[in-house]
Amino acid sequence: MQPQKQYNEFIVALEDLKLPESTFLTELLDDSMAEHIQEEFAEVLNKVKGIIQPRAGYAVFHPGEFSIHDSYILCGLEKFNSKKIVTRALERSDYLYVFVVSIGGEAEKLVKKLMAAGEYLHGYFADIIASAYTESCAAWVEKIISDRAAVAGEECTMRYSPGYCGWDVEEQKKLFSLLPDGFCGVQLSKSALMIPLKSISGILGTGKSVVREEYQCGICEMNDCLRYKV
Amino acid sequence: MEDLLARIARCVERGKISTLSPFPKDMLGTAGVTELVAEALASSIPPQNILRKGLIAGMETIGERFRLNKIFIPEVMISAKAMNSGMRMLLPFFEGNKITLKGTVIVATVQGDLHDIGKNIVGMFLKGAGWNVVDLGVNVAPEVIVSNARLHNAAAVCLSALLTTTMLNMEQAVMDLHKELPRVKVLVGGAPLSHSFAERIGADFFSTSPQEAIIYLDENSTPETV
Repeated sequence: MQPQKQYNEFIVALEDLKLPESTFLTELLDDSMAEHIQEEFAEVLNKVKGIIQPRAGYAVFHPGEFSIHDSYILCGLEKFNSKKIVTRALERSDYLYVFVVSIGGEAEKLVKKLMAAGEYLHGYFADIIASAYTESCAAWVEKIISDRAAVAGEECTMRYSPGYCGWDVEEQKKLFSLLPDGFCGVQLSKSALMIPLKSISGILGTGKSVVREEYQCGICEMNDCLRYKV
Repeated sequence: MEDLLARIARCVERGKISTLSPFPKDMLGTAGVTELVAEALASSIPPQNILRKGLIAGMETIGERFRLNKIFIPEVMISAKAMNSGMRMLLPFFEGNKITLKGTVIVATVQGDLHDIGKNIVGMFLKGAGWNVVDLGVNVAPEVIVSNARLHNAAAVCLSALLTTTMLNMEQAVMDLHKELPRVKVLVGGAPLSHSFAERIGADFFSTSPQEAIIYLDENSTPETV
């Protein structure tokens, strides 16, 4: 049996989510269509804002409930084969956080509807805005955790997700087994796909000896990493 | 006549749908795709020429600029919408076989995967290049892909996946297609894919660029397969 755990789940206020500047295409456009495209973007942004339902949550694993090894992590009753990039980043953690965030399924329904209607530009914008909000939601939960850690004089690692840094996306099944069914409204498919699609899961660590290191994408040679390729 | 078709192509390229379109600013108040296609039809220009030398020509220009990283995807999408406005006016001529497309391409996201934005964008590019696109949607089983490729006498099948777990499901679909319909070209794409993976599963073509896929199809689809 898994040990009894406490789970923290939040409904995230839209105003707490900040979209990165790069979402707004400001660097891309300088021709006569730029102004029009920005207007179209603003229109879609408002639509997406009106339908997303951001949620975030996490479970905390205390000292003794997990251990970090050279190329794997034991957490609860699960063994994450998370590879060295992740284990090195987390190795000094005193607490391990397993988190999930999602913006719900309405945005992807909107994308499908727009694309099917031949409104490619709006559909594309809706998709990238929804993705940006999902990332922002993950940043939000990371900040909640890091702020809590700071009060205790602890540092927080970057967040790591199955599918990145050599950590097989299939391991998402193990991660979700550490959380209640339907946590933050997210279900996992047989192929380890999160539904709704606009969801992120992962782990991060906090501790007094943690040194927060940026992602090492610049020196990574894994050609099939999504972060590297997208 | 050529001038009119060139103007249609230019309007597609610039995303100018009609006189009322508020952009591009330097074409405000001028005729757009819909007015020019109407004028071309009224002038008895063959619909096939309007399609090939007007609408598709405009998309070819914009597609090539995209391939060369001179423009970004939103501009291609604006052009695609302009092209569609012209295509709608040509629809009646498809029924009378006064217009033929290059052939049919099946697009699908493989079994287990629900991501479809990449597939949709590829479909948009293919339509813009004059292909009939049959979109099977997401989470499509290999047998459904094969049966639809047969049903539609497809020249090619484009398969998409976004996860390392689901891209493995491409292999069965590729194998089945090659076994059942050896003349059908199988193209694969998606963020986690690579040339080596595509080669390993026996796909005919892989690229990160939809425009490269169009060039491949144009060069590798024989009249018998189209």
